[in-house]
Amino acid sequence: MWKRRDREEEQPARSTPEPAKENTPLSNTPAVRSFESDAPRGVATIGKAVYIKGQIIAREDLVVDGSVDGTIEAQEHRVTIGPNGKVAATIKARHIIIQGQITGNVEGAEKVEIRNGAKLLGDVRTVKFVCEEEGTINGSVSSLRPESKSAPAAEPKAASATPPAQQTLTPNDPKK
Amino acid sequence: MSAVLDKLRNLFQPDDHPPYLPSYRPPPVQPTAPKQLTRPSNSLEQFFLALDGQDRLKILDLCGSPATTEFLFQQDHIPRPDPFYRALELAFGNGAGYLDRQLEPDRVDIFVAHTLDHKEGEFDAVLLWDSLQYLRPELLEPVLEQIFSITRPGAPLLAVFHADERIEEVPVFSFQVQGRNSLFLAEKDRRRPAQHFNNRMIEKIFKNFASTKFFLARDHLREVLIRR
Repeated sequence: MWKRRDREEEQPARSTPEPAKENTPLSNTPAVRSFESDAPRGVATIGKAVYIKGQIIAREDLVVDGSVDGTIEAQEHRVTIGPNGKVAATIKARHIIIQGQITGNVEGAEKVEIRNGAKLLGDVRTVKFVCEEEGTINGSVSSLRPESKSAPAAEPKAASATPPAQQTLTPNDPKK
Repeated sequence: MSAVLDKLRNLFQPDDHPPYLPSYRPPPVQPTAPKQLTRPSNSLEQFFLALDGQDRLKILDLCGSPATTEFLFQQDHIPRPDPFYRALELAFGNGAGYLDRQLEPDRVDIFVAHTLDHKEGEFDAVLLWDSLQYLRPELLEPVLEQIFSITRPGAPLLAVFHADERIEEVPVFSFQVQGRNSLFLAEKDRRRPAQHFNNRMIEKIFKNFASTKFFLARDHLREVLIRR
């Protein structure tokens, strides 16, 4: 009898911690994303076991921790090359953070950061450039500022100059 | 028992250790901390004065330190860090035999073909730092020819040579530009220089260049501003 009661008492006691066990695997998932802990929602991630060949156009922030061979464009967003990332591509983005290896030119409309352990073989064009002590670059680093300022200024002038030219041309067109 | 212990101790002594001093232990060598210092540099100031009034100049930096790259970028220039020191290590090693390996013509040819491989007259200024003092004459000559060809006429070049001729190994520094006349030096290693450069020898190796100007700096360093 005593044994039966003991078993009956133990059973409900065992049943309570079971839901807690179900939660344990979920709690392990953030550890995988340790280096991107500050990344907000809406971040696309290319994992370290993924290889992509071709053109990537991102309309959200992108983390590349795998291999990419081609081009990466995220004009309005941030591209992070993770510590395992091996990229042979031209990258154009608003903000580029490099922790892995890149072979190719990099253009950051706002900022390019080269973190410790990163290796970049290619040219950088950006407005703000930061390189940590153990980051390696083999390429030139030039400012995007003067060209980005002059380019929009030149376009309206050209646009305003062309319509009158077209207008004057049409009446004098010998075919008409 | 003590005699046996002494014999055992002798087993672990180096071969050249005197056998009549079995219990002798040399005093432990205190590892000296790598030297790090920030100091003003007149040659660096002159280098930047030569660049004044011009922006977006392409500047080759053979030390390739991130701090220098950031500084030159902030000055509105186009820094080009070059892994020259790393290439030197890869081609000739960094051990005691690195100078002997510079005598091998095939190695020299491969190094020259793959290093400083830039367009003719591409750079408006060059930061050579102390790179040249680790090159034997057999390697120094083609490297200087290459540097001459990739810089535009009138371009300033800044080089540093260790001035103490008695010293066998000179400190290998990482040179970081912190301001227009402020230089941070961090000792990375010590290495035997290929040759000691006095003023006459420096003038001789830069004989194809327009001018050389010497600056006596601290820490047994001789800084030289060269005009292409």
